[in-house]
Amino acid sequence: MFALLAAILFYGLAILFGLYSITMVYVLLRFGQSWATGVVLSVFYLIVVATLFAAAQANFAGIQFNFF
Amino acid sequence: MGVFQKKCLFPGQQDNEKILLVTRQHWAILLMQVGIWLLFALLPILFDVATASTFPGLREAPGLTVVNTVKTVYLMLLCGALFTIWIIYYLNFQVVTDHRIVDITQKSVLYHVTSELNLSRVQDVTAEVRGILGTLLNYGNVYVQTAGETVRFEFVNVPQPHRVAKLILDFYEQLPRDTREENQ
Repeated sequence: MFALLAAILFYGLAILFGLYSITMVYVLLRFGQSWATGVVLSVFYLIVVATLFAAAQANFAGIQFNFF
Repeated sequence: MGVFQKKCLFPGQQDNEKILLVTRQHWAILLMQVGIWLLFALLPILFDVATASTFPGLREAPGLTVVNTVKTVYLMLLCGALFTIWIIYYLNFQVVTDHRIVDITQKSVLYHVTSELNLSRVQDVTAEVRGILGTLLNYGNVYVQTAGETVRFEFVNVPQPHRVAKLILDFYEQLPRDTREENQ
């Protein structure tokens, strides 16, 4: 039960953050002055965030819920 | 404009419209916001230092995996915050053309406002430099008072506010006299 709640919280937060990130990228490309700046920064940002999410997911998978 | 520059800087830009100035907040304002962000970025390090002796259980499994999960999620959110800070800084800018003044404001990620003012409606332009940083780095506010309106057009914390004010007034003076006077 505790593991399920934690998973809902973790992945729910990840989905919300993903949607927010996509919105930011869209806004930057839509209203920004330069395509090059927008694309380079968006790709860099998405790579960093995806890497951090992969790390967070690996850490989350390593949590032993039955221990608590 | 370069190959990767967008053709239109703002919605409704005319083909024959000449861009005279594009300005945004001074870099010192961005630096201050990044400085505050850095304080939040230091929190995981401070947490490690603070809990090293008091909570040794958090330094080994299973506590360590929970701490690492929270830290990576926190770092992910911090990256999002930094990107938001930069986007709001980058998408907030003012454009002065030979026809009008355009103020593009990005108040949040989903709050975009574009206001424009015809140069012929300008009545009064005020440049304001305040504070130690503003004086040292030469940034401040420019207020453009329009004919018949109580709301002022504001350029907040722009570099060289006196130069911006002079530029607007110079181009206002270059307008034909009948165009200028019809609004006064």
